[in-house]
Amino acid sequence: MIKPLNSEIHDSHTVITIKAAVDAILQAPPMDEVIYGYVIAVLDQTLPSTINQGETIPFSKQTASLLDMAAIQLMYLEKGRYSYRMSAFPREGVFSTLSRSERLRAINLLERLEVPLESLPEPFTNNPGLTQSMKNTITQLTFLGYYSEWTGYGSTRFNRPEYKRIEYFPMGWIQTKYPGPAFGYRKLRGLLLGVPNKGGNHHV
Amino acid sequence: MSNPDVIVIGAGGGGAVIAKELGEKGLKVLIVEAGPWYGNQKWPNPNLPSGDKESSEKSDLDITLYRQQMNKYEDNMNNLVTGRFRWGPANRDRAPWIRLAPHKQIIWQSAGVGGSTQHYTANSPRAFPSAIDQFWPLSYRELIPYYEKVEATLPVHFAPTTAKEELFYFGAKRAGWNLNATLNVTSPGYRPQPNAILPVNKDLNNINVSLEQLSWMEGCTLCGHCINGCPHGPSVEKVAKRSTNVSYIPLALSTGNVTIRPNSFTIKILTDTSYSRELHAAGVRIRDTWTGEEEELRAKVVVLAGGSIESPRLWLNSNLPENPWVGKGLTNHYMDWVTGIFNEKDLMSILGETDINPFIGHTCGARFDFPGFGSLQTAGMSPGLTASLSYGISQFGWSIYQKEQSKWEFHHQLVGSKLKDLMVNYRKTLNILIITDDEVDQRNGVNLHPTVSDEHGPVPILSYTPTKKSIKKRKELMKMATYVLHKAGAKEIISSNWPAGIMIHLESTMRMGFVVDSNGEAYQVKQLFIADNSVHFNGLGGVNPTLTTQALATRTGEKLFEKYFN
Repeated sequence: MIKPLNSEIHDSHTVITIKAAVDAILQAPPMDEVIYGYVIAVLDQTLPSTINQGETIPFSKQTASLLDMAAIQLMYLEKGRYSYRMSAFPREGVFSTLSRSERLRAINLLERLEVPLESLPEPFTNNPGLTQSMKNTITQLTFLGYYSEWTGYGSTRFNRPEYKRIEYFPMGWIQTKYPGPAFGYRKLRGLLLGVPNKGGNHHV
Repeated sequence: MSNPDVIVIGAGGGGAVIAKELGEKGLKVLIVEAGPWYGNQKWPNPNLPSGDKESSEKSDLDITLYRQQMNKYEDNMNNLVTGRFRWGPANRDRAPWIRLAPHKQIIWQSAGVGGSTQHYTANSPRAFPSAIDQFWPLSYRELIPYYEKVEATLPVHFAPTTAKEELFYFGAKRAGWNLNATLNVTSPGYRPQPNAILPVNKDLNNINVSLEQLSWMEGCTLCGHCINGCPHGPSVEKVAKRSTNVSYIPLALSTGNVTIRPNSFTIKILTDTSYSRELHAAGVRIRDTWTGEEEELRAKVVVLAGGSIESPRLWLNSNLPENPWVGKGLTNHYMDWVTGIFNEKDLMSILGETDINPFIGHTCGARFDFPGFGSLQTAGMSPGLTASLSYGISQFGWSIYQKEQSKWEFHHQLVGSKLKDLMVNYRKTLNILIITDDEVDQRNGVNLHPTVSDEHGPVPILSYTPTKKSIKKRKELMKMATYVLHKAGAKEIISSNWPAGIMIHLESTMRMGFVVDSNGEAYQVKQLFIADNSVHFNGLGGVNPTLTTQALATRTGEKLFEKYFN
């Protein structure tokens, strides 16, 4: 029942590009090495086949192409400021070769729709709502992947939801000192108001 | 169930209520629900195939199963794409059902028995009287007996105080506001949130009773999991947070007259003109979300309770008569979110503790009401949702950040080490949700997408742009919220600057007085009633919508019965 990240459909360009986006947001290696898998897995389940190209072209792949388009646009807009440099990521596409702050600026261009909408890959072509949402989508997925229980699923983290099991205390909970789900807390400080009178008014 | 008197579309906040009311009057009611049913023995694995078709016995409800499924993990429950509370089919290997928008949008709605009350934080304030009187076709006074009935049935109580509520009250008081000790709010002030959550277990502080034992008993344990699904109680019907799947649904099943069929998406409302000149509802066409099989079901009356997006979508997809207000006038309370970070020393002097621990107590336990502007409420979420709602959503750029008394600084991105600094202080964090009294505008609403369809027909496309008045009100509420946080002693304040497309409280897309009459019956289709947030004339003045929907559903049930079955 395991639904792994399928290396056949997730080419290295997609993996490296999404990893570079997660790295720009979280800036916490080695966690970026884990969270990108969550972002890809959830992205690929976001859209039904009527919108996306279904199993054949995963949404994460199109998102990676979108990020490349944004990167090219940034280079165009900031020409002179951009310089070809050694990259932390293997050279795959354009987005991953940018510095962290450039990657964040490229993502901002999507939100501001400062990209040629008609030339974007499907399903972003002439779809401002979806294109504009991608900054929040990638950011939120990165945050939810890191701060929710997901990292704790360990070796089961890419299983179908019904077959995931918590194996470790999640990484983000260590950072936030969240103790995890509880049966309850003996932390009642009192009641400011009791039961209202008939009619809804209350005399303290 | 064969030959029901009434078919109710949707087992959420409104549908469950009207089904129980009609079942008690002796009518045979069938609820068709698009999503799964958690905590029912007939679906031991609701997200896998091989469940049953329908259930009508209260004895099918199983608290042990419910606890396994409501497992309190935020990604498993509240991930919008794969979580149990998503808007999508029971089969989580499939994508959620889509809604499109011309702008940035996040919709937090839930499919399944209980609907969005599965994840709601049970906030049950009444509408502001000033938002009803002179506007609605009903008076506030007429609503009161129905509010009272729902408040007694759920039941609704003022939230208990834990650290985060105490801190909020402290800040609100220092900001110059008074306690508003009422359910009928006519002036500004703070108060405990009227919540549909059972009172705290009286043995909570009895150390001879373990917390685990308490979690199997009746009463809230302050475990803080309202938003991720409350599983605590001795039986499904006694679970502490009163989502309709644990309150009205068990009561509906107890009547012996109500059957619920989950995993059934209604794709068409059937109509007829055969025995009267007027167009009237005659039944529904449903599609099984597992098998894809379609079926037609007939009844004398149909109640539409699919929520503010699906109800107008279904009307339009059923080719019901044109009406310029179907799908139009959407309000979403134009929400925003602000975060205060406190230091240990201040917390120690205010609370006698070094942490707020936002994960303890009712998720949203304190509120501040300001008729004419809207309301504020505290929110204490688990860390993933906190990070995501506080620092992961913004209109343009990223969040706006203020440290102590300095001027607002615009931070393009709360990422990397800044994000980490904030999240390291999670236990010293107080969040406030801003709920704006946003204006109805006919340009906002739900349409059918001209080219994109799913298995249920053309998909909905939502648009929402706040009016100038709404923008001004949200700004004022943000000022009040930051001032309360400042007076409470927050050392850092981060305003999220949410985009307008955050859809949590969706209302008024099938407005009373325009699409339905004051009894909830459609003007243009007789025997078709609507019983969800969509019939609200407006956004209630900026108040959480569920209780009002439930009060109206109770009333609509009464009127429907009088007109067609008495």
